[in-house]
Amino acid sequence: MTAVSPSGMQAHHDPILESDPPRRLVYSWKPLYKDIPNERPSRVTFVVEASKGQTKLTVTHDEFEEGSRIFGMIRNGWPAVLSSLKSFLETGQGLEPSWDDDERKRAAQA
Amino acid sequence: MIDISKFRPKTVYVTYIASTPEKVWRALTDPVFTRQYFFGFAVDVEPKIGGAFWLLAPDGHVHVRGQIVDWDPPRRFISTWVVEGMQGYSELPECLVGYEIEQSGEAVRLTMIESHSWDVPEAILKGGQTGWPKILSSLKSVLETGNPVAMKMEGPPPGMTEAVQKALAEKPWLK
Repeated sequence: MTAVSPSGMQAHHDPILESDPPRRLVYSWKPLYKDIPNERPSRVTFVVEASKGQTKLTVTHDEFEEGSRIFGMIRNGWPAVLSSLKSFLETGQGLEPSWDDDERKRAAQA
Repeated sequence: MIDISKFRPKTVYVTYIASTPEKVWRALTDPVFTRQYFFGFAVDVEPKIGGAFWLLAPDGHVHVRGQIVDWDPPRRFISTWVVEGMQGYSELPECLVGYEIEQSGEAVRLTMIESHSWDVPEAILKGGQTGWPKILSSLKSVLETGNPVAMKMEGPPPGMTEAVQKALAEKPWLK
């Protein structure tokens, strides 16, 4: 699994651990950004369940290093990403929330 | 008025919605609007701090009764919840359900916070954790597409009824 940031930098290059389309996808997760702490890879699991024309998506991000600093840096990201995914699937348009601003505000309050 | 400083957040959900704070506020507080996404239930309020809060079942019965403890349109709305529509549940200590609405870029960030004043067991929290993702998903769909996601309310998840009975017998909040 590779991910490229909007500015063209490679953000991820991670091994897929399990793939069972269209039900289950598990990959290892280690961000490659320069300023991010060097920790062992965590793990992301997507489970997709269909029922009566609707789909339930469950995302679990676990196996962080004990006392992980990365966890604190990324924990607020998933709600924004998953909200945008839902909007994209239902309306054809993703969201562009300014979560960087939100995170800066929250960090300033802390 | 209750002392909200005794309550701790136990379940928190964040969702981003392509909408405005005013529309999200209306979606949370208008009885006709709420029926569309809240399993057919209607939220009704006396719109002021100290005012009454009701969650009415589709047949009109009071499912939840509460009191508004924070009312700051279109930013923050907190009320107490006492579940009257399920046997025994009304004897549990009241909990708080709060919503925070913030502009985030061109979207709105909606945070739902369920708080409790006692060491509530996971099996009881599971009840809300089964319902809230469906309610909030459907709320987002109604605001963005005009159509709710038709989902049925499930009964209590496994172990919840037993956990409620145990709590009512032992009343750990009195200790």
